Amino acid sequence: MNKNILSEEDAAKGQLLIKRLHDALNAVLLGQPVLTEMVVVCILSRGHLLLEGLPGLGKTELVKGLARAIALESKRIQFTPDLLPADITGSPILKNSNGSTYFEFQKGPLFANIVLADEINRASPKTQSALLEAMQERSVTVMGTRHSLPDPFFVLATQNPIELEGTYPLPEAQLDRFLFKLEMNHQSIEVLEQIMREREMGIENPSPQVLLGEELLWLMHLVRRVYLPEVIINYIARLTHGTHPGQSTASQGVKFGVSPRAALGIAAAARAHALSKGKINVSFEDVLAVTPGVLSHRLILDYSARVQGKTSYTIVRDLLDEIPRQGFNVGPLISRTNA
Amino acid sequence: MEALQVQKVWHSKAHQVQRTVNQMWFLTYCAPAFLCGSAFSLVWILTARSLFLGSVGILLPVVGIVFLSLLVAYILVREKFITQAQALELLDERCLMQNRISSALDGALPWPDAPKEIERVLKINFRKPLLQVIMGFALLFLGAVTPPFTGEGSHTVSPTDKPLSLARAEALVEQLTHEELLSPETLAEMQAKVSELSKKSLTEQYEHHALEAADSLQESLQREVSQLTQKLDQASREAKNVESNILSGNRADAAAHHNKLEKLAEELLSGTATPPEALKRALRQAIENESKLMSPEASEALRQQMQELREKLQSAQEQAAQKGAQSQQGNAGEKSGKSSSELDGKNEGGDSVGKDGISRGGNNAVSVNVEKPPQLTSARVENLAKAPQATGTPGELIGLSSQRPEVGTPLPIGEGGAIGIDTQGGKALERQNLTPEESELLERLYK
Repeated sequence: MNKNILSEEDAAKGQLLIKRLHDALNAVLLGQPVLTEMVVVCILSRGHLLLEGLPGLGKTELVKGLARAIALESKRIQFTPDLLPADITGSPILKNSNGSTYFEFQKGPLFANIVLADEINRASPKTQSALLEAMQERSVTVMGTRHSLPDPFFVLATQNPIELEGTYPLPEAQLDRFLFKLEMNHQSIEVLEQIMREREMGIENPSPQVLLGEELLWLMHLVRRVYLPEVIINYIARLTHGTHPGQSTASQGVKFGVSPRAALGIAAAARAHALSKGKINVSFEDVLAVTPGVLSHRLILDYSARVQGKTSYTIVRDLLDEIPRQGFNVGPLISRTNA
Repeated sequence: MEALQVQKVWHSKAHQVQRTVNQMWFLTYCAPAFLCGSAFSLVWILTARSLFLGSVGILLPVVGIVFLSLLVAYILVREKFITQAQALELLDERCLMQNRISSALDGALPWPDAPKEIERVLKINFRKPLLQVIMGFALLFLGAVTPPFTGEGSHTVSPTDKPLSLARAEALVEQLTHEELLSPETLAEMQAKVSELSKKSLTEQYEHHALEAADSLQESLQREVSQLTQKLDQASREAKNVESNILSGNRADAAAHHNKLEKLAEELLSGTATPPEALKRALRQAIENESKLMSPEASEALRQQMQELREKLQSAQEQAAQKGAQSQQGNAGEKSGKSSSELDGKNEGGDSVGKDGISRGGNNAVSVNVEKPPQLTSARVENLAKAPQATGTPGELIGLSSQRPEVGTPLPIGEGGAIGIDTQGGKALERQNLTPEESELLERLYK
């Protein structure tokens, strides 16, 4: 047995901490337990999160609640069309001290553990691209000087659907940096009733801090120790390969498949999901749970798929149905009943 | 130790799963292949039974087809067979072990405890392949019990022995060869003619042209032998006349008869069928006699030699006729193994006149292996050539007469209902328009 593998005790402790964070988020965003679970998984995987939905569904509230729940430095950037890259990365400022003048780098709002990029698709592509280096390399380079971002560093972005006017769709390279893209749907009647009973217009819901920064780092460390079996690695590889045109039936209508970064993202998210369930190894169920959120925003569909009414999400669902879990096939032999 | 035992349990179960899955894969591929093979076998069995092939001839290809189907299925299914590690993966999923077994197989995590219900992990779908196997056997059974198709309104006939004409011709040549009654050249020529027909298959021998050829051959052989016999008879009589005239001192008549004898000897030596070498030498001596008259002793010796050959030839003809008929009946009995009524083969009517079935001649028809007798309802009358008069029987010759029956004259009825004809036999016929040859023959027969 490998000593680097997570122990059952640590997994149980980790599960408790994760549950605490999950509950805090559920208290902020009512009626969306699956969504909040994915948000937690994304944070534990050191991934960046993109929330999409119509205005007023609670995207910003969720991200703010997450920032409050974890005792980490958080900053919010409201993206607007006239926002410039230097406005978010920071810029050198000329200073005069003791008769000498020099440039001092004034850090922008990116220098925080949690950056809330609200309505990210309202900024121009130039400003959106300023996030590329920060999100991937966790650093900012200004005037030839590289400035590291604090650890951990998350970008939690929200965006309105691209059908609305005055928005700039995120480029594919930018989208690929986000581990998850989650869509927020309308709440049910019961949830709406609960919201009206428990919330008031214009008054922010006070959510408690449930996790220390060190605890979050420890959880992230635990996630890395969750074992990823060979069969799961093989399954993720086949899933990723299957997204490319011609490699599976489900990929009809896909113009470009996903990158290896997506495969790494699935593996990391599946590990975090396994830990959130108190497991010391990843299982197929973990992969199935995280794959739609990881893959759907990375697929680029062609015109025929759009004509047929296919979406990235439905294609990923078809792909999960098509690709067998094992590398071998016993489908027609065995009835679908478990022991 | 406990961990090892747990690992052993999982591996043992995985082995069972592997074996079950692989067997099921084999069955899943073999069943449709067996079904296809059975369908082909069904076609083959029906065809083979229509062709009256033996059981070994039918079963061997069936076994071959089925074996080939199974071999192809095995080659195709080999890739589907799973390993023990894959069986463990399957157990992992079926036992809802959350990939703990896979992790343990990787050596990363300890083996989990086996669940209690591990014995019934797999529920195999037996129904479809089993149904296909049953259908395959049903097709084979169908092939065994379905009556063979022989075509609408027609029945396949497979002859079991040679046509009678050919059999008689063979018997005659065999008899002549065995007793060396003719010259080697004549015998070789006859054998060549017979073997040309004999080497054909039985089916070909019963084709129309082959039957005609066999008839012609038999007639030709009999005619040649008969002509030889007749000339030998005439020559022996001339030799006797020579001898008696010499002894009585009538040399003029003796010389005249000797001249006739010489002519007959030349005809015998130059005929189609020539006598054996010994007689040929004696005949040449008689021709080349310088005194133009043979001594009574030489004449007597030549006469005896010719008389002996003539008798042997006649005997050979009779024996050949009997042997030909007997061999045909014997063959039919041996080959068909049918009931006695079928072996008799008394197929009245047929394409020829008389009771000869599809063969010609005065004996029983050829026996064939048929479930139902052929429908020989043809009204066509085939004109047969006249029987050779030299070998004909008195009854046949009477049939050649153009004498008008005496209509209205009641015929006397003898004992037992036999109808008696009050005529003078050959002499009565002799008064009609008979050819000289017929007259001579009748005279000889009724002498």
